[in-house]
Amino acid sequence: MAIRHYWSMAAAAVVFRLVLVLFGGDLHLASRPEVSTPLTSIRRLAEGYWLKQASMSPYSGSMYHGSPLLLSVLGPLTKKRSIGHAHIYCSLIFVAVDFIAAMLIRATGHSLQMARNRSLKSLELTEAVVNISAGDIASLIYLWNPWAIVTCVGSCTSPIENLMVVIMIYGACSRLAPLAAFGYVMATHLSLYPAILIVPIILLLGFGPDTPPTKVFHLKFSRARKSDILDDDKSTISRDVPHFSWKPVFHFILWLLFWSCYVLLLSNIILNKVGSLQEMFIKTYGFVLTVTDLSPNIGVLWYFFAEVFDIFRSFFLIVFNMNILFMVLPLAIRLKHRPCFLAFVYTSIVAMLKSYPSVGDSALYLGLLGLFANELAEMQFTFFLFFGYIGVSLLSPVMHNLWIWRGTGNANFYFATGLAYTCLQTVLIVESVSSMIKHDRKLRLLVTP
Amino acid sequence: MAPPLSPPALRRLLLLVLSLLITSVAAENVEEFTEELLLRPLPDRKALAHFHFRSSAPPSAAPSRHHHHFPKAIAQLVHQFHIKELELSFTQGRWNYEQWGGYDPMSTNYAKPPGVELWATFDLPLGEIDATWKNLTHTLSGLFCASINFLESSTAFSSPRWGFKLNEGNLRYGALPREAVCTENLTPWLKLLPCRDKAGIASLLYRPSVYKGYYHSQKLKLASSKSFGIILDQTLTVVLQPDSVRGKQLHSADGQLQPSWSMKDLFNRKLSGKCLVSKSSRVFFEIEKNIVDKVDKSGTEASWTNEIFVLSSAPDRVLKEINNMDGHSSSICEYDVSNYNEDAPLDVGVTWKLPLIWSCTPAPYHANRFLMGSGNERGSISLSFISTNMHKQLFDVSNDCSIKAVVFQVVPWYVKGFLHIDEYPPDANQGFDIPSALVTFPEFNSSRSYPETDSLFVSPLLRTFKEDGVVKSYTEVLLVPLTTPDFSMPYNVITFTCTVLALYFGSLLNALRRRTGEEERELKKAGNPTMLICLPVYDAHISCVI
Repeated sequence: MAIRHYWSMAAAAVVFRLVLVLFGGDLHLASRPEVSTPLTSIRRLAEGYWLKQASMSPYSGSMYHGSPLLLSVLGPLTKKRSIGHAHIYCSLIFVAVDFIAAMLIRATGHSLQMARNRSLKSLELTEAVVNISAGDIASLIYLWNPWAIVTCVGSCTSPIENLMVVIMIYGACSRLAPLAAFGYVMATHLSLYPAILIVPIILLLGFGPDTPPTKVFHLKFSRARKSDILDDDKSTISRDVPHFSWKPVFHFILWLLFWSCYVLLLSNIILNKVGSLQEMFIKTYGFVLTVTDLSPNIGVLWYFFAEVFDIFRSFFLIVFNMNILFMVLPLAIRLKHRPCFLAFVYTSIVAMLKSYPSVGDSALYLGLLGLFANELAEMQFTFFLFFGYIGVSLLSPVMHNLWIWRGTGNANFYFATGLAYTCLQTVLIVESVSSMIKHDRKLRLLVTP
Repeated sequence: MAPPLSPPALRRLLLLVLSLLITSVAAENVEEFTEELLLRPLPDRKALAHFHFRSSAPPSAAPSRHHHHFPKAIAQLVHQFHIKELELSFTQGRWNYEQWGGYDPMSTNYAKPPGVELWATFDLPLGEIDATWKNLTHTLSGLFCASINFLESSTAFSSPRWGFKLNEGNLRYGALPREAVCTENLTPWLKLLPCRDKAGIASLLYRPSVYKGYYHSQKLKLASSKSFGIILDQTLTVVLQPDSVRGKQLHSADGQLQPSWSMKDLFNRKLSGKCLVSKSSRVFFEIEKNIVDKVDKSGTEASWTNEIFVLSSAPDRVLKEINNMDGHSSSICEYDVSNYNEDAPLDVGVTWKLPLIWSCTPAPYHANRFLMGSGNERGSISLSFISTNMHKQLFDVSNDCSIKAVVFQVVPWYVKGFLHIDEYPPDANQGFDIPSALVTFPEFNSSRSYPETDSLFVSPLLRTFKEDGVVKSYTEVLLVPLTTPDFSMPYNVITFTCTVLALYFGSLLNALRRRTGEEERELKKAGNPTMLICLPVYDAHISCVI
C-alpha cells in the first residue's frame, strides 16, 4: 500500500531545502556544536584545503581530521564564497546527496517488502500482519526530518557519510556486491565506526533481506510434515527456508579488498608530498579513538574526558570503545535472521556512543527506523520518545547559549541535555529491539495454532 | 739633529706612562659601582624619579673569584647559565604614553609592561636553551621572591626571532601580567647593591612613597661578555604625585601653577651623602625640550633659574643635549653628591613661578589594545593606532608617508579552546591575562647625546640615553574570559556517564536475553492469577490488529 502524494511530498522537501540554502541567509548553523563536530565541520575542511594548497600537511595544527578524498572533492568548492550562506555550493551538493540517499532508502524498503511478502506468503500469514509501504515512509522521514534538513544546510559533511552507509545497505539488500563493498569502504574511511556493519552486511549477502526466524519456518514445515499432506507445493515451500550462500560473500570480500586498496592509493596520491598515510591514520582514526578534542557536542564523552582524572583516562577510553564492540556479538546472535534491522541497531548504537556525535548521525538511524514500520507497529513509548527528541533539540541550544554566551548557566546544564538525549536513545534502541523480538514471537504464535 | 730628551724629562715621561698603564690596568681589574638619580617634572602635575645603579665586574676566568661589591649571586647566575644578556622587570601601573611621552630614551627603555617581564639571551647550543631557561626561571624566582617559575612551561614563554629583537634563536621571552609587585620584591633587589638602602642614593627609597606612586618599575639588566666582563644595571623608575601645599595657589591669568616639589616632598628625606664604595654619585634634574622651548620663547635663557621656575640650588654643571635635528634641546642640571654630607644634605627641587603647560613628545602612533565582540564565540582582539602627527614635526612631510611598525604579541593557544580541568591556569573563572603587546617603530630613533666633559668617566645613565634605541611602546594587558567546565564535578560526571551507559548495557542485554514464553510458562506453573489475566489481553490485542 503506497503512500498517496509520495512524490509531491518528496519534491516539497527538496524544494524546502533549496529555499533554505539559497535564500535562508547565514543561519550560523556551522557554529552549532550539535550540528558540526570537529570531524564533520566544513570550516575545518576549508582550513585543511588551504593548508594543502600552501604545501603543508592538511592535518597539521589539529584542525582537519577527515578524509583526503573529501578534501579534494569539496575543497575547491569551499573557496568560492558568496554573501549570505558561507558554503553554498557544498550545501547544494548535500541537497542532491540527501535526495539520492532518500531514494536509495526507498529502494531498500521495496526490496525488504518484497522479501517480507515472499516469506509471509510461504508461511501463509499474509493477512495476519500490517502491510504499509515501509520504504516510502522511511524516505519521507529521512527527507522531512528537521535534523536532516539542518545537517544539510549547516555546513557539515554528515550527509555524505549517511549516503555511504545507505549505499552499503542498499547494495547488500539487492545482492550487489561491488556496490555494497564500495559503500562499506567509503563509510569506514570517512568515519571509523561503520566498520562494525560488516556483520549485518555479510548476513544480508548470505541470507538475503529480513525474514522471520528460521524456527518459525521449521515449526511450519514440521507441522505440515506431520499432517501428511504430500503436495507439489511442499517442495517449493521447503526451498524458501533461508540458507546461507557463500558466493555473494566471497564476491563482497574481493570487491572490499579492491576498493580499500583503491581508496588508500588515492589518499596516498592526494597526500603525496605533504603528508603520509601513517599521519593520516593517526590524525583521523587516532583522533576518533582517543577523544583528543574536548569541545562540547550533543554526546556525553566530551565532558567526561574533560573531567576524568588523568590516571584513568586510558582505562575509560578502552571501556567506551569496547562498549560499542561488545554488543556486536549478542545482537548478531539474536537477530541474525533480520540483518537489515541489525544494521539499524548498530547504526543507532554507534550514533549514541561515538566520540563526536551529532544530529546528522541521528537523522540516519531515524530514517532507517521507518523501514521497519510494519514490524515495529506496536512499539511502546513512542509518544515519550517523539516529544523527548523535540524537547532535547529545543533545550540544547538554549543551554549552550546560557553557558557560552550569557555566562548565567554553566557546563552542567548543557551536559544534562546530553545525558537526557543519551537516555532517550537508549530507550529507543531497547524498545525497538524488544518490539522486534515480540513481533517474531507473535509470528511464531500465529504459526502454531 | 734633535737633542735627545734630558734625563729628568725622560724620567717624568716614563713615570707618566707607567702611571697611566697602572691606572688603566687597575681600572680594568677593579669592580666599579656608580649610582645616579634623575628627576624630571611631568606635564600632568606629577614627578618622575629614576634611580640608576651600575655595578661592573671585570672578566675573569674563574667563576668563583672573590667579589668586592659586585653581587655574588648575579655572577654565579651568569656563569652557571651562560647568559649573554638578561633583562628582568617588575612593574606596577601603566606608563601613560599620552602624558609622559613616548619618544624619549626614558619611555623607550624604562617603560615596561605591568607585571613581570623576563627575556634572556644564552650562549649555548640551541637544544639546551629550553632546559636552561627553566632552571633560570626557578633561580630568579627564589632570588626575587616572585613566582617567575610560572614562565617555565612552554605555554608561557616564546622564542621570537625578529619580532622582539633580532637574534639567531637563542632568545627566550616570557611575561606574567598578573604578578603583583611589593616590597618583598624590592628588598632582594636592593640587597644586590653594595650599600643596600642604608647609604647613598638608595637611602632615599621611602617605601610608602614609592608604593603610593602611579607607576613603579624595578629593572635588572645584565650584559656579559669575555671582553668587558659583567655589567649589572639596576634601575627603579617611579612616577609620584608630590603632595605639596605650595603648588596649590591659583594664578590669576593663566591657570594653576605646577606643584613645586623637592626630594624631601617626594621621599620624605634628603640625601645626606654618597655610598662610600661608589665611584661617582650624581643627581640629575632634566629640563625637557618643550620646557626649554617655552622658556626660550618667553624671552629669558633657560638655565637653572629663570622667570618660569627656579631650582632649589645651583647645579654643579649644566649639560645641553647635542642635537642636530632641530634647534631645541633638553638640558640636564647635574649635582655631585660627594659635595654633600650629613650636615649639609642635598635636596634638589623646583619651585614654579609662572604657570606653564607643555607636552612630552609622543611616539608616532598611540597603540591601544582591547577586546571586541560578545560572548565567547565571536570575540576578537583589536589593536588600534592613533596618529600623533609627530612625523610631520620631525620630517616635515605633509603628504602621507608610510611608517613601519612591528607588533609582537603572545596569545596562548588555549584561550579559545576547551581543555582538561588540570590544564587550566589557577583561578580560571576570572579569565586569562594576555600579556602586553610590544609595538616598535624601527624607523624612529630615540637616542639623545650629551657632551662628555669628563674624559675618564662618563655617566652610565647618560650613556644609556646615547645608545641607539628604536621607539617602543607597550599596550594594555587584556583579560579574556575562558569558557570553563565546572571544576567541582569530576566524580559526579564520571558517575552520571557510567550510570547512563550501564542503563543502556543492562537494558539491551536484558531485552536480548528475555524469553517471554518461558516467563509465561513459569508464571503459569506458579499459578499467578494476575499474569493469566495479562495473557488474554495480549491475545485480544493481536486479534484487534488482525
